[in-house]
Amino acid sequence: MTRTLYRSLLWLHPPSFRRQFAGEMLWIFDEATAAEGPARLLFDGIASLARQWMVRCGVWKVFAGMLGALLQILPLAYLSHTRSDPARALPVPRTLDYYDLEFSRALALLILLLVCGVGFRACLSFNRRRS
Amino acid sequence: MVTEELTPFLPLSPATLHILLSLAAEDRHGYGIMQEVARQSEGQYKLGPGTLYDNLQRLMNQGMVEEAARRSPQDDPRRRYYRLTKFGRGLLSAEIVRLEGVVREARHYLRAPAPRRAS
Repeated sequence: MTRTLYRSLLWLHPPSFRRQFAGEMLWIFDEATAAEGPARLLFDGIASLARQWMVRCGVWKVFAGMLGALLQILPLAYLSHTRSDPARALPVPRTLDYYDLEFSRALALLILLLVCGVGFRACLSFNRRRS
Repeated sequence: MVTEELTPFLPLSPATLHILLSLAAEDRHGYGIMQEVARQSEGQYKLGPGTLYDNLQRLMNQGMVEEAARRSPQDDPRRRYYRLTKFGRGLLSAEIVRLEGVVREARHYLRAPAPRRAS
């Protein structure tokens, strides 16, 4: 059971790291479980998984970009929603009409998609370089 | 004397120092490195496989450690051996010289009498 769990954790690692070290890590898990205890090894596997994706691969940059783009989209979405309902409308400047808001929201969504695309492309090329 | 080539890599992190130190005497496989690190630190510092291979990957990319040949064909095929490169050995030596300086300084200040408080 714990071996399957550990194996799954290894499978979730970035491909280049998995190809290079997963077999050896599983062998160490088999050898060291009795002495170290499975809990410590599983915890180490989880920490390794987070470190590989967040630090070594740089996926955190994609998440930061997505968060930044979402922070732009959500207020715009709220504003355009309230503009369509006069009872709940916020005092938005008269010069800013519904179409401006929709255009801004579409632009922010485009930026979000671009950030995601560029980020994942960067991660893939990073993995290819390492393998 | 620390050359400019080694300066960017110093000081070494505890994990890097222990891994390089464990490979200084002989080539070892991953589990062997883990056991040697635990032995050197008298059980105070234990490396997990995730931490070990994360560091090994980095050290191999930086040219401090390289993969060595298997010792015998009967070895488990999953077991791979690692060895210190010339650069890795030089870096370890430079770090030991640096640490000796730190220990010398620390001993000097710890032995010196505490300054008297002005009355």
